[in-house]
Order: sequence, then structure tokens, then C-alpha cells
Amino acid sequence: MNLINPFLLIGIIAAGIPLLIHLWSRRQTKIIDFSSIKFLVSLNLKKVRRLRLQQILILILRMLIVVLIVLGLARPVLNSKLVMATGGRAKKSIVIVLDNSYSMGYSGLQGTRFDIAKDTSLRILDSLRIGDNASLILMSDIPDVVFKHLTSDVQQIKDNVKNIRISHRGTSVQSSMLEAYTLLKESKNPQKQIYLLSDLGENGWKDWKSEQTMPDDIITSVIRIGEENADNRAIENIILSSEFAGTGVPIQITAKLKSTITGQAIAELIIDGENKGQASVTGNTVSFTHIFQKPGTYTGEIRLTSDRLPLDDTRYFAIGVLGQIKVLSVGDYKSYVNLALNPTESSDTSAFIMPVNASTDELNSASLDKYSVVMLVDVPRLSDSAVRNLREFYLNGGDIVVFVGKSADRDWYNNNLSFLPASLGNRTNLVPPSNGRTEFTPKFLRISRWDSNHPIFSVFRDEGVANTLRTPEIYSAFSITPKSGSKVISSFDKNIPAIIETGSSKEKTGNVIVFNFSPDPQVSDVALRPMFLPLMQQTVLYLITSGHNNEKNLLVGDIYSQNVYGKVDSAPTITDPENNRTLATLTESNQAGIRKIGFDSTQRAGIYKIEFKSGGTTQHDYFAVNLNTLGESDLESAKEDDIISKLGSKARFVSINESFDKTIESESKTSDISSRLLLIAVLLMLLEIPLANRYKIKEQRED
Amino acid sequence: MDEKRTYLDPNALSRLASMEIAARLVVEGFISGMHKSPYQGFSVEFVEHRQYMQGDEIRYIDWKVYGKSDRYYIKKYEEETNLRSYLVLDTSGSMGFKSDKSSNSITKLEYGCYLAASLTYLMLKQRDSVGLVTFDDRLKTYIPPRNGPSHLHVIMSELEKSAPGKETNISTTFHELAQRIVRRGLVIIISDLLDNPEQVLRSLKQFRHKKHEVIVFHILDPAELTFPFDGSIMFKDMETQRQLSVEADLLKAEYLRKMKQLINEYKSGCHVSSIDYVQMDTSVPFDYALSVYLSKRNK
Repeated sequence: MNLINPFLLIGIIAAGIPLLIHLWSRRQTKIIDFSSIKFLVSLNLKKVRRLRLQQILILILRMLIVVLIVLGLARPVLNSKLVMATGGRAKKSIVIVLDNSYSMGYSGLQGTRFDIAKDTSLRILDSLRIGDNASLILMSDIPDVVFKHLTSDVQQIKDNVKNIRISHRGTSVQSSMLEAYTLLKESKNPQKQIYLLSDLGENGWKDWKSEQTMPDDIITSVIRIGEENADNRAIENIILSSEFAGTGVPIQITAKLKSTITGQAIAELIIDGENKGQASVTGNTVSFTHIFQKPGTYTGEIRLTSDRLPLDDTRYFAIGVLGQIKVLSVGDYKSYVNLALNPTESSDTSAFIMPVNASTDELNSASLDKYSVVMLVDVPRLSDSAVRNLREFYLNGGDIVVFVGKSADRDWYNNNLSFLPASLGNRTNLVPPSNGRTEFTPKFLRISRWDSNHPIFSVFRDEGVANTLRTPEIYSAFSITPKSGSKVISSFDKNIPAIIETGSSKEKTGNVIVFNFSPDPQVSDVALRPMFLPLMQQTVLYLITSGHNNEKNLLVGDIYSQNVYGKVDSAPTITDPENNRTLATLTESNQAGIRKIGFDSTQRAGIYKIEFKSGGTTQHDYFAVNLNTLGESDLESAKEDDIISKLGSKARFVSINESFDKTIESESKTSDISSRLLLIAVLLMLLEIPLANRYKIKEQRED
Repeated sequence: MDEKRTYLDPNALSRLASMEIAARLVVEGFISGMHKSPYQGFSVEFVEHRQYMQGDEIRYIDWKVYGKSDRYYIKKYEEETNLRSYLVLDTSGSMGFKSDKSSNSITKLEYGCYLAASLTYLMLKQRDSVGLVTFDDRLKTYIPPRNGPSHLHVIMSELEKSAPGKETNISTTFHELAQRIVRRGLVIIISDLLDNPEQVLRSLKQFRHKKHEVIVFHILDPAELTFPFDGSIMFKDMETQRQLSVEADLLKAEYLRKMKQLINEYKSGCHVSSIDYVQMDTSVPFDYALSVYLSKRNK
């Protein structure tokens, strides 16, 4: 039994008033001289005792009347068992917490879990009566409170339930439950109930914070939708062998799977709507190799044979493919670098990276804005005009790669190239191999550590490929002191920096990467190692794509943002996977000339297209949004005991079976018995009046 | 008549210093309000003759009538009209009770005294002999019946002296009294009769056995009849000083029932024994009692 106005119980004290009056009147004993008490003593005291008992009964009756009135005003609500005997039911407020996370898209024999949940919600809403009110919360990893306040317009809620769609999000039960509690707090109805309709996947309960206490006056009915621990196969992620693709360069596209299904499946690669390959899935990965022929942004997906939860069987990606990149190479050992950048030595436009040679003198007057990257390969020193030219290139966003070998003049570099990420120190010279002379044992440094998350090393993430980074022998290196803000991305033994960059935070200026070695055979054998080619190509790709801040592969709910250089003529629009067009935000950046396009409504998985006008021409780009499959695709159910312990003692499981409607109805059989208590009080008052006057009436009759 | 009745109000009488004056006021007021005929019947001058019948004593033959009419007539009036009355007044402690504590209210004893005084005055006025007996647990005073104006003063002074005494012991007292009263007459008992009714009735029957006429004036206070008490009350016995704590409201119904039963018992018991029973409370005017007496006197 619960009380709606428990504070009124203080009125129970009033029940003591008749008792106090009774006791007070007892204490007021008068002494009266009487003719003879012999006569009084001879009276029938048995009868008097009966009258005394009757008076006590009247006293109890009066106290009971007061108690009943106070209880009636406190509005007690009985639970279902008690109310069965009394009939009727109290007004009720309910909140339906309907799980619309994508795991609810799992199909069973009777349709998807989400459809079953919707039907069940409608049945619950049908059980409401006049005076009841309700609200609806769609539960995913963020709660969507459809009705901000409890409403008695049940039909409106039902219409909403019929029209809602499954989301592409994960689950977080607690945040939705807290919203439900907040809604029910405003209710004055004696009965408050939450119906939680969910597949109860374990993922939804992982972030439950135990310090949250559940209110006692709210009953939670947990309705499991679908069977426990269903099997599923999902694509967890798509990994591109390189984050930067160039025209004509093969790129590996790998789908990483997780599956509890043992049977075989077929995976398809679709790029720009065309099927580009098919492979049977045997393990946890499936890979495709593809060569993009033209620059631009490509979108694609890998699609598995559908299982019962089709939403996570497809994963989307977007990739920017670059056109030909021109690199200016200066220095004596530039041919090694050029070969790594253009291994086929193609001279036409088919080369993805086209190195162009220049002498140090040519650098004095070369027009550098034609080049994306300038490479200084162990240049001893440059003229002042070349330095000026180079600095201007850097300040305008040009990227520079510097190899420092035996020729590099340490002091000149430190004094003149202020944009370098580090200052050079003493040189460490070790023993290189000497053309057939065996009396010297070579001594060298190796690359021992690198930041595997850095895009330069993205192709070296596989264990086998990664080992190739350790193969070069370095015979000469500077001790290097990094400048503030710069970043060491690779080191030799003894913690000597091997590769260092100025940092990627720069928006307008270019990036500078210093290699603490050179392809000079006297300095290293790096040019002879297989890792040199991908390292050089990745370096160039990284430099020309860094600072663009254009992440093309997002998860549902992520915020898309893209920097735009130059003028934007119109507000950018986003076309979502369902062809709905919405405006994106356009904000000024802190830095002049840069604007930022933002879009936060990435609610559906798929390919999004962004369009805006710049300089009179329509620009467009794409990005992919995918499900966050971490946990949500597991379909592993949380344990019932855990759920009850989290939701509190007022939570119970309700099964969807033939007696579901009756169960819901019987759950509603709580009753506000205040009116009945008050009625009983009135009846007792009517009984009390004749009882209290009985003596007088008797007296008159005897007279 | 109404004006005279105000004089008869027992409470008003209590303000008079002399009981004799009070008694006179009562009786004169009462008599003057009556019709002539009953008064004539009490004249001592009236002579009644009846024819001689066998068995009558010869000395009662009126020889003067025989001389005139040659018939034997008997003169009998002197013997039958000179009534001997005994006023038996209860002066036990319980008679000192009055429920109205105001100064102009009277106790049962005072009421009884006024009643006795009024009856005395009336009787003596009729040349009847009046005696006074007072008692509580025993006989306290015994004034034998006499007539004549001086006797009025004797009785009045005795009544004025009377005060509530000890416990009531009616049966013993009446037994003793019955032994003392040899000549038959009218016994008028003024008491609250708060004693064992069976014993009281048995002792009253003794008077009847001795051929006395008996009138019982059962004097009660209005409070004894209505029991107007409420709440918790400690009753203190006026005779024994014993105390009894009771819930008056609880006791009331039972008390009233029992009181009614007591009165009925006396009423029926007296009726069976041909005793006139008059139940009065201290607010009833005395003329009611006097008229009861007169009707008895006329029988």
C-alpha cells in the first residue's frame, strides 16, 4: 500500500482527541454528598460494566472514525492483490520506453523485434482508461522523449507508435529510464508505471551507473522482445590499406567481421553503385583490392549475405582519391627518393606522384606553388633567396621534407631554416660496411619505435610489414632536440629521433618532416630496403592530406566537419541516405580564409552527400556513416537478475503470451481507496450517533 | 388560589423563622381554598344517633331521645371523631440531603418538618390528638398524642430542634414504636425509606396488625428521582461517610430503573396492606399531602 499524501498522516494524532477527552473527563472527579450510597451499591454493576464496555467501544469507534478520515485524506493506494477484493482501479500514469536501437531490427518468425514491440506498446496503450495519461520514450544510446509531458491523448501516442522507425543507434537503458522517472515525477496519479520493451541486449546495460537509485513508487514492467542470445553476423569495421588513395595505386579494402553464425556467407564490394567484386567469407575478415583510376571522392559499401539482422550486414565507406602529385626534389641523392615516389619512372600523367628535379640554384627562382611538396635530400646549404622562396612556400601551406645526412651543414640549418621542427646537434657516426673489406664490423642504428597510429605508418600496421621498418641500417645520425609543438613520430635505438614533424595542428602553414638520415649509402642503406618506397609515398600522401581535417568515415551520431578554404557562396546542403536534404552549418574559423562546414544529424547509416557553391562552381563531397557495432550487434542478453537488481525491487518481468493483456490489466488493479475509507467513516459516524445517545434515549423511555 | 399556593411553596416556607407560623399559613391557606362541605363534617358539635342494636352497651343509650320518642338511640360521636394521630418523622442522616445547594432550598428533613407541622396544626384545629415520634437508628423523641393549643407549641418546638442524625434503621424502630402505641389511631410516617424495602414493609404491617391506619409520606429529593449527575463522581454517604466513586453517566440508567423499582415495591406493598402510600419530592406543595390526609380522615 502506498500513500499519495503521506504527510497528512500526521493528522492521525487527532485520533487521540476522543481519548484525551475521555481521560480528561475521568480526571474531573466531583465529590457529592448523597443521601445513601447503600442504594447505589445495590445496583446491578454487571449492567454498569456492560455500559462501560459500550462506552469504550464508542470511544474506539470515534478514534476509528478519525483514523479513517485521516487515512482517506492521505489517499492510500492498494496493490493488486488487495484490490481484487475491493474492485475498481486507480488512475494510472505510464511511460512506454520502447527500444528502437538497431538490434531491434532482428527478424523472427513473427516479424522484427521492433514490430512486435510496437504492437505490444499499442496493446498496453489500449489498456488505459479515462483519467490515465502516458508518454513515449524511444530508447537508443540517447533517449528520445517523444512526449515531453504526460498526455491523456492516448490516440496521439498510438499514432506516434505506429509511425516510428527503428534507429541506427546502440542502446543505453539508464538514460532513458531516468527520463521516464522524470516524466512520472510530475504525475499526481496514484499509480505510476514504466513499460520497458526491449531485446535487453547486454550492450544497453554496460554503462549503468550503480549510484543511481530507483524510486520506490514506480513499478517497472520489463517486457523482453524476442528470444535470448540470438546469433548474428556483422561487419564491425572497414579498413583501407591506406588512408590516402591515389589514381592507379591499388588499395586494399578489408571488412572486419564478427559472427556467431557458423555457415558461410558471401561478401560483395560495391563502389559508386557498381559491383566491384565478390568473395566468400571464411574467417573474420574479407578483403578486396581495388584501383581507382580517377581522382575524386568515391563511396562504397561491403555487403554480406543478409542474416536476421540485416542492418549490420552492410558497411559503408568514402575515400578520397588524389590526382597526380608534383614533388620538387633537390639534393645529391634525390634520385633514390624520386625512384621511390615514381618506381615505374613514368613521365606522363599516369604517374600518381611525379617527382621533378631541381638544383639548389634553380631553387632560388623556381615557382614553388606548382608543387605540393618540396624535398631537400641532404642539401648542404641554400642561398638566401632559395631560403626566402622556401619560407614563402611553407607559409602558403606548402609541405617540406628534409633529409639530413653527411652533407647537411648543421649550423647553417639551425640558423637559417627556422621552420624546422628540431634543431640539429652533434652527429653520431657509426661504422658503415666497406666494399669487401671485412676488417670492420659495421655498426649502425635501427628504427626501433614508431607511432603506428600515424598515417605515415598506416601501411605498416600488419605485423609482417611492420618488421620491414626495422631493417634499415643507419650509420650516421644527428642528435636532435625537438622544438616545442613538434612531434617525434619515430625513433632509433637509444631514443634518438628518426622522423620528426612540425605537427598537424597547423591550418594554413605547411607541414615539415625531417628524416634524421638520408638515402646516401654512407649514411644508411634505407634506399635499398623495401620499406623505403611505401614510406616515401605515405609521407607525401600524408603531407598533402593532413590539415584538411576531412574525416570521411563516421559513426552514427558523430559530427561531420570539413574545412573549406576560400569563399563559400551558398549554405552547404547535406543529402542523407534517404535523400532528405538539410542545411549544414557554416562557421568562420579562427584563422582567416578558412570556414568550417558542420553537420550533426548523422542519424542513419549510409552515404551522405554534401554540396556547396564556391567560386561560382558547385562543389560536392561525400562521407559515410556507419553503425556503431561495438556491443550492439552481439545480441547477447543481459541476465534477468542483473536487470532486476539495477531497476530496483519494483521491477518485474512480464512475458508476451496469451495472458499478456490480462496480466497488464491485473497489474493495473491498484486502487485509490480513499473514497471508500471516507464512506466507511461516514457510516461509522451514523452508527456512533445512536450508540452515543443510547443512554439518553433509554433514560427518557424509563421516565 | 394561585396567590395562596405561593405561600405553600416549600422553599418559601423555609424563609419563615417560626414553624408554627409556617404551619398556620399552610393550613389556613389550604382550608380557605376548600369548599364548605368537608369542613362541616369535622364539627365537634355534630351529633349522630343510631338505633340501638343488640350488643350495644346500655350506658351509651341517649335517654333523652328515648324520653321524647320512646325509642332507643345510641350516642357515639365522641369516640369516633377524636382521632389519635402519630406523626413519625425520620431524622436519619440521609434526610439531611438536598440537591439544590442554594440557601432557599430545603432538605428532605426540613420538608418533613414542615409537613409534620402543617399536619399537626390541621389536626389540632380539628380537635384531634397529635403525637410526634422522631427516629434514626432508634427512637429519638416520643411525644404522646394530645390535643389542645399548648400541645401545638410542644410539637413545634420539637420539630424546630430536629436535625439529621445517624443511620436509618426503620424496621427496628417501627417494631419498638408498634409496641409503645397501645391505642389504635392514625400513624403518619414521613421518611425517605432508604432502607431494605422488605423489612420496612414488614414493620409497617405491624401497625396494621394493631388496627392502626397508616399513611406513608415517602419524601425524596428531586435529584434522587432524576439522578442529574454526569461524569466521574465521588458520592459521600451522609449517614456513614463512606465514599463511592462511580461514572454517573454509566450508572444513571440503572439507578433510575432501580429507583423506579423501589418506589413501585413500596407502592404495591403498601397497597396490599391497605396503607396509603404518597410519594413526594421536596418541591411538591404541602396541600397535596394535607388533602391526602383529609381524604383518609373522611373514611
